[in-house]
Amino acid sequence: MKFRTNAVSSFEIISYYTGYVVLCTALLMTIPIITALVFAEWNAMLDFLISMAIATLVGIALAGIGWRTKQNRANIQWKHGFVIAALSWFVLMILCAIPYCLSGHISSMLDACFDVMSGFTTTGLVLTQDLDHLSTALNMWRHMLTFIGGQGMVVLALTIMIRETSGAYRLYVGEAKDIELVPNVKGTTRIIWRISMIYLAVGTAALWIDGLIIGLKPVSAFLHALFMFESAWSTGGFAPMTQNIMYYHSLSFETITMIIFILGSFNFGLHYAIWQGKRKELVKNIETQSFFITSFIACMLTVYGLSRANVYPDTVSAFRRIVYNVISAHTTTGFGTVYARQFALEWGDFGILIMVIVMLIGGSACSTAGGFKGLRVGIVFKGLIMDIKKLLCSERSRKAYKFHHIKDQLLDDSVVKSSSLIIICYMVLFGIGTMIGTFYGYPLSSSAFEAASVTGNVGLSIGITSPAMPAVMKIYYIIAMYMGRLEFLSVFALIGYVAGGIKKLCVKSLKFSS
Amino acid sequence: MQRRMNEIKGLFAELLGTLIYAGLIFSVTAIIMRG
Amino acid sequence: MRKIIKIFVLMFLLVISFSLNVFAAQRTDINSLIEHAKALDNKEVTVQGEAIGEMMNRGEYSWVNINDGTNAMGIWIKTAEAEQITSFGDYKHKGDTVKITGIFHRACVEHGGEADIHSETCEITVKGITISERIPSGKLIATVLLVPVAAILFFLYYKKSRKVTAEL
Repeated sequence: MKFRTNAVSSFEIISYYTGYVVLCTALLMTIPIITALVFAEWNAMLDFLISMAIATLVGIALAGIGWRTKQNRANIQWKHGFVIAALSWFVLMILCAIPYCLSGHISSMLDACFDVMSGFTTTGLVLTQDLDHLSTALNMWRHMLTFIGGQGMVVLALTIMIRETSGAYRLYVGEAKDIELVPNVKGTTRIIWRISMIYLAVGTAALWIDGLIIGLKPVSAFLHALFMFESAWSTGGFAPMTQNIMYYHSLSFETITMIIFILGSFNFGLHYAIWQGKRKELVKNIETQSFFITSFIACMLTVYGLSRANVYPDTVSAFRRIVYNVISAHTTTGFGTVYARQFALEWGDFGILIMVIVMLIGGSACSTAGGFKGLRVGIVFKGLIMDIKKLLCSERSRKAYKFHHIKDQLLDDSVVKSSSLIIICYMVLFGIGTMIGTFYGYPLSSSAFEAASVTGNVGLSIGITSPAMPAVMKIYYIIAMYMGRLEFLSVFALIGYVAGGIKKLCVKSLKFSS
Repeated sequence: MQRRMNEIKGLFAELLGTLIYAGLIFSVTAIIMRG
Repeated sequence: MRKIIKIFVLMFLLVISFSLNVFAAQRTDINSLIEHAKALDNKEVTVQGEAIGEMMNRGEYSWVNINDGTNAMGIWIKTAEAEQITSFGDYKHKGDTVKITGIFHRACVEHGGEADIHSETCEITVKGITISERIPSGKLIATVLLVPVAAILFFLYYKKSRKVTAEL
């Protein structure tokens, strides 16, 4: 056994693990390469071979820099986990943008990075042009990215990783999935994958059969089924065609995707509990309760409001155009059954406002959905009730308040506080996004809609997102999607780490010069 | 075997639950649109 | 006096017929249809675009989606007419360019509130073609250079990695 006397620096640890994640992603590029081969799409195949080569080289370089981490089996800490999650997403954003750039469907590197970040964060806003003529390989890649982004890049690396678990837990939490299903983290990630794979099989089959029924040819029906499943389950919102889900003109197709994306927006811990036999959890859990209540109220209000303005003629239309979009927004999926501009032109401010609210509330924690998360909304709401009760109650009685999330948990001030703080962070992110939109001349309701879509990783657009959008807005949206998905902690850690490093450098150079 | 049964039941429970929820919203939508 | 009245009536008729003709022949792009959806609701419009994806047979009628560069929309068309369209756009094909005249619906009752066009006449203006792939030499060179280098380095990395794991 070899021992090194000097400890492995944080920098090296971070570099090594980031490199590892990059290498795993490079390996994933074999899937689009095989797709391109099968469909004889030569340009696409070369695009991905080049990208895979570049990613491999970058991954080896990063892992090489941090090589001592592996040699010394260095201990990975919480702070590393957060920084690795944040850094790897950033590095991967650039590497995964390469095939887009090479395809010719994208106007600039910035646009490509936007689409990649949109995929990773399961947002679903699109800057890629001419989707209808995209290669099958690139479509495979786009939808894969959202499916895997939903599962978390790091969880992916963890599943393949053959190391001890203590380090693994810290990487995992950095990815904003803090539910502990089983004590063994590797076991947890395997379970997350298992659940997703089973749904992948069931969901794709259902959509494939429906696709055949509605008139698609067998091979294309399969591809559409696969892509739409990946997009729905991950609550992404990408689709292989320009018209998004409107391409299919089918109530059945829409309904199946709706069921998939509602389930996809649920907490993985919830799926695990239900699949273990605790089926009552579906209705007892604070998140599902919160979601059912808020989405129900939102649908009813919007249907009622729009019916007064006679926007849609009958019940089926109201269900397909209003309910579908409200729930798509609430689960932060982003499949749209109306054209973007129709939200602005036909829904009116009341409809837009409700959409903004549900997009911000979002789905469940520890899921593929975005937004504040129903858990926090439920906790803050119950916290408010708790405070009111405390006021009214006599001072001598001491009551413990709780909420039910997988198991009964204590509703104390610290839980309420941390939930409120994160909600405030989201509101700030949303507020700045809205301000920037209005600064560039977009109307307030539209700016708010787009900013909510970005902050909550939704993907519905009111028409602002386009290649012609100002670069500043594209950059801000990328940052907002990124922060929203990683739930701030990772990004703050990364910023803090980089700032700390710069500070050290400055201090060193000052010492040197004096 | 028991585990497999639980998983299948769980899957069905989720699908059914969501379907019921969708049906509920559809019904209420119908009521609002008629009234 | 009578002559003047006759001339006026004739002019009036001419103007009306011209504007009617012009209206039907006037092509709208799909984005404009959406922008002015309320004004154009239930009116006859003409759109021209590339047929994309595939035709979806729903019995007597079918769906054909067309993309005119500004946006894409579904056309509800008689299956018999739709079958005239032989080429649909995708990665390898440019679809037939079709000119559709029909009634635009902002929120079609028959189709669950969707914005669509019910075709009355369909004319194929340009036949679609198969796009042959042209591979830029730059890409080929980059591939030939990068892939072997990356493969060799990865192989070395992998071997070293296994060695270190075995030692620990």
